[in-house]
Amino acid sequence: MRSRPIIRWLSLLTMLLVVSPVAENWRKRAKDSFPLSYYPMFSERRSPEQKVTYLTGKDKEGRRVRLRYTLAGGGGLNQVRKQIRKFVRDGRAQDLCSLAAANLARRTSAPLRNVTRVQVVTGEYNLNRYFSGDKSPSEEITHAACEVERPIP
Amino acid sequence: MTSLIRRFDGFLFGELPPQRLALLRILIGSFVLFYVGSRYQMLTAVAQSDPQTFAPVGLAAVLAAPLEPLVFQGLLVVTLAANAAFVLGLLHRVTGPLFGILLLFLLCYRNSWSMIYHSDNVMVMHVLILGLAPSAAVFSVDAWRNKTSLIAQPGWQFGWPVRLMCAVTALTYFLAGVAKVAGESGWAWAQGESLRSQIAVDALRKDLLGSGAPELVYVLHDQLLLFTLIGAGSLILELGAPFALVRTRASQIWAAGAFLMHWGIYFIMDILFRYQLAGLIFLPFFPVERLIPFGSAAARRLRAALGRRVHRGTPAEGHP
Repeated sequence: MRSRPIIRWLSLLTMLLVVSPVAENWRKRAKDSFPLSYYPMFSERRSPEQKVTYLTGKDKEGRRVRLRYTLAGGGGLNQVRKQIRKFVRDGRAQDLCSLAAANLARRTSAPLRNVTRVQVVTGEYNLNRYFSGDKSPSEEITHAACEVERPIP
Repeated sequence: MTSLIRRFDGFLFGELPPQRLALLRILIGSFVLFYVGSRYQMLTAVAQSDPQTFAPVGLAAVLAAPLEPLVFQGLLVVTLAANAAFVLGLLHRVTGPLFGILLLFLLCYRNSWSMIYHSDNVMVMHVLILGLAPSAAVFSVDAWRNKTSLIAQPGWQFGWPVRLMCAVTALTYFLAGVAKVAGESGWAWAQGESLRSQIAVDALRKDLLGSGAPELVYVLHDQLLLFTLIGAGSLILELGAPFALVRTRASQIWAAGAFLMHWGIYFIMDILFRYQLAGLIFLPFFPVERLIPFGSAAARRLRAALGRRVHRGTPAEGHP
C-alpha cells in the first residue's frame, strides 16, 4: 500500500468504524459487539440493592460453604456469572446444579470434599450494608438443589 | 475541506523511522503470543462450554453453532503459528494480515460465550494495523533475507500505522467516556457515587462467586470524595483523549495518565487489563526506537560475557 490517498481514506474509515458503535448509547436496545464496542462497562446506574446469582454448598453439618464460579464453567468470573444467570433465566437451574455437583465430586481438598449439597441461589444484597460488614442477604431464592454423589472409595 | 484534509495528512503522514514500527510489531506480537499461548487450556475449555450459552459476536456471527472442539484447537494452533511468523517478520506480506484476521476471529469466538470482555479490543486492532503495515521492513527475517534493513529510511510509510494506532487507542477511551455521560447518570457520573457503586457491585460479585472482593474496597467504600476525584479524573482522561492527539507531548502525557488509571483500577478493583497494564497499548505514543542503543549495548555486553565464559570453559586437550 503505497498510495497516500488510499491510506488516508482507509485510515479515516477505520477511525469512523471504531467510533460507529457510539450510536448504541441512544438506542432503546443497545447491542454490544467485539471488537467494535461502545464500551458500556461502568456506565450503567447501579441501585444500592443488587441481585447476584451464584452457587453455594452445604456440608454434612449443614454449614454453608462458598463455592467458586469455576465449578460452573471456565473462561473468567464475569463470563461464568452471565452463564449462570442464563441457565436460571432459561429454566435450566437444575442442569447447572448437576454440572456443578459433578465437578465438585472430583474435588478432594477441604472444605470442598465435605460439601454434600449444592444450591443455585439468587441473593439480594444492600451494597452499603455489605461493605460495612453485614454480609447477610435481604432475600435469597433457591432455584435448584442437588446432592453431591462421590464415588465410594 | 482541503485545509482539513491537509491537517489530517499532517497528523497521519508524519515521517517516522521503520525501527519504531518494527519494534511495535515485535513487542506487541510477543505479548499476544504469550497472552494467547498461556491461555491455551482456558480457551479450549471455553470452547467446550454449554452450546446454549453461545452468543456469537463480531466475525464469529457467521457461525450458526459453536465449532467442534478439535476444529477450534486447530484454529488456535494455526493462530499461534501465524503469531510466531508475525513476531519474526517472516513472509510478513502474507503472515501479517493472516495473523490479524485469525486473531480477530479467535477473540470474537472467545467473546461469544455470553460475555464480551473489553480488554482485548484495542490489542486486536493494533495487530490488524501492524499486520497490514510495512512493519517488517527492519528487524525481521524478511529484511535479513532481502537486505532491506540497509535501505530502510524514515518515511511516511512507517508513520501512518503508528498514528492510526494512537488514534484508535484514543478513540476507544473517548467512547468509554461518552458511554458514561450518555448513560442514566449523565454528567453526574463524575460525582463519584456511580463509580463507587460500580466498584462495589463488581466486588460483591467477586465475593459471592468465590474469588473474593479486593480488601481495598472495604477500606475505601465510605470515601466518596476519593471516588469523586477518581471519577472526574477518569472522565477528563477519557473524553479528552482525542484532543491529546493534536500534540505529541500532550498525547504522551495523556498516555501516561491512562496507564496510571489502569494501575489504579487494578489496585482498587483487582481487574487485570493485561495489555494496558503492561503499557503496550500506549507504546505507539512513545519513541520506542530510542531503546535500541540500550538493547544493543546490553546485547554486546551479553555476547562479551558469553565469549569470556566460553573461552575460559574451553576444555584442554585430552580433558574428557
